[in-house]
Amino acid sequence: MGIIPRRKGGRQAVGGTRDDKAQRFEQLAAPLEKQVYHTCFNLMGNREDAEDCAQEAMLRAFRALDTFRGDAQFSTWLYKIAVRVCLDALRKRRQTVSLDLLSESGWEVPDGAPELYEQLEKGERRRLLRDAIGQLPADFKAPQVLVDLQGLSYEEAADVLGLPLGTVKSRVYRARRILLRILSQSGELFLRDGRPKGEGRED
Amino acid sequence: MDCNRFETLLDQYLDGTLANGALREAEEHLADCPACRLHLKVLEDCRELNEDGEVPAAFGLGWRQKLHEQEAPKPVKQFPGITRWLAAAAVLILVFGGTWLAGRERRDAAVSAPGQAGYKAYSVEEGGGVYGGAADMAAAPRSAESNVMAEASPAKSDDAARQKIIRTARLELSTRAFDADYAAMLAALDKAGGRVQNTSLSLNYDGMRVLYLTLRVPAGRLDGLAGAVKGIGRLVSFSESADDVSEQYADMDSRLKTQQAKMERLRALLAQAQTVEDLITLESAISDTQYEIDRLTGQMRGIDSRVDDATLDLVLTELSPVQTSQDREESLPERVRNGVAAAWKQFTLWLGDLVVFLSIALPYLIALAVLVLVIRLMIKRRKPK
Repeated sequence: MGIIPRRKGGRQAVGGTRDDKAQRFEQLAAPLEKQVYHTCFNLMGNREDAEDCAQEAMLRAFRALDTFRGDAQFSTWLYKIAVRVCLDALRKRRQTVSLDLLSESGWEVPDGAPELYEQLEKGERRRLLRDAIGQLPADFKAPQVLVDLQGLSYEEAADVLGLPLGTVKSRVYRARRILLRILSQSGELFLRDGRPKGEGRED
Repeated sequence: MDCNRFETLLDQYLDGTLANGALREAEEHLADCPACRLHLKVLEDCRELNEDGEVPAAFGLGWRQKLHEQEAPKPVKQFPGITRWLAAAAVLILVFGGTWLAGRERRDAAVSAPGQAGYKAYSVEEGGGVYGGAADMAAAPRSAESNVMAEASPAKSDDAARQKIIRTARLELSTRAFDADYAAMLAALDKAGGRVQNTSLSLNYDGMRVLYLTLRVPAGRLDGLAGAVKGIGRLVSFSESADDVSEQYADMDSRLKTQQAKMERLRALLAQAQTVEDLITLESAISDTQYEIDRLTGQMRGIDSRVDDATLDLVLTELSPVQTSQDREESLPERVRNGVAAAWKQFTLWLGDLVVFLSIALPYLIALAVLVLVIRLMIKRRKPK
């Protein structure tokens, strides 16, 4: 690979082993770097944090390479590390989430909102969605991102997060509802031409 | 199909794995439910949100760079100041702590030896005598509280069987005649038909013995026993409590009955079960129910046992013998001489403990030294020069 930096002159290889370790890790991890980065991006929501977390994940994985036993796929293992790094970072952010968002069970859809949403340009929809996902609390965001963005199955997501399957499912469900609620409340989208809020969700 | 049903099928809908019938129903629901249309659209968009474009160069270069920085050998650190202090502190703690531990065994031995001998002597010689005294005390007037309780719990009346009351009393006594009083307590306990559940003996700061006893006695005889024991030694404190757990017990009982009824129904269902799935579901429900039944029965049995037998916690503290020499004021030279003598005695004891500890620890210390040497050798070999 062309990107491997050349060693600086002053540093002498100490023994074969360490060098091999770095080489080996690079071979294993290089094909997965896109996946690692995009996972981090989906979870962190912005480029700087994503870069930091992805890099941290790679380093942690490298340091822990000896503990990788090969009883799981390397990709899964690396994935787990990346998700954990992001979760740690997200929890440190201490975002504030309004309790209303978490406690309500349904959501209201303003009149004509689905049509409006569909009429938006794709780029705008993406931005709105990213923004809404960014507002999810970390514990809900991770399962939702893994399942709905990364396309993992519930079982895979449960494995990566180290949570019971039922927990992951219910968190994804709740995260989706919160997401819809955030979107419904985003004035930019649904109230921009002064439409009154429509009646509640028809059940 | 309603929205909730649609929500549970949403994943399959997105994956395209919905069976035909359900798919048609879902489509129909979508057609006239804008909320679910929005839900679906948002999730479809979510799936498209994931990119697989190139990664930023800062990351692609960054992690590889860091990787190789990682592998650069770190300079072997000599012990810097703080580490050295920590090591010294650890050694000190090891030596003093170890010596103290070695000394504790000696002190413990001193506690139990005379004590044991004393108990035996008393229980044989004076047991009978004190026993009479204790019986007299049993007749002494009881506290008002005890009287109320005595009415609630005599023998096994019908009422008492339904009313579940857990009685606990705690008595603290102090005495100068420690061994005699201990024997007297055992005698009183024997007479009340109780048993010792737990005994523990320890030394307080003054080097005097403190005995903790947990006694179990048939509930009706708790007052008699407490009265009898109160007369032994000097009463420091007394407390008694009665927890009425009847309601709790009745609750458990009715839950148990519910579970048992449920069990019967489940078994009946099991007999009729036809598919493997039914069998599995029923089996797991049955094992859950059995677990619940066992748990409740166990809890009820525990309560029964505590209701039948009341608990009496006893603390007997030995008072130091009267020290006449302390009453007289000592002159300064005397105090100095006494102080030096005491310190010297302590010091020689400590030295003894140190020797004991070192001889105990010697094999480990040798092993440790060898280990350290080997590690040092290995480090040196890694870094020639």
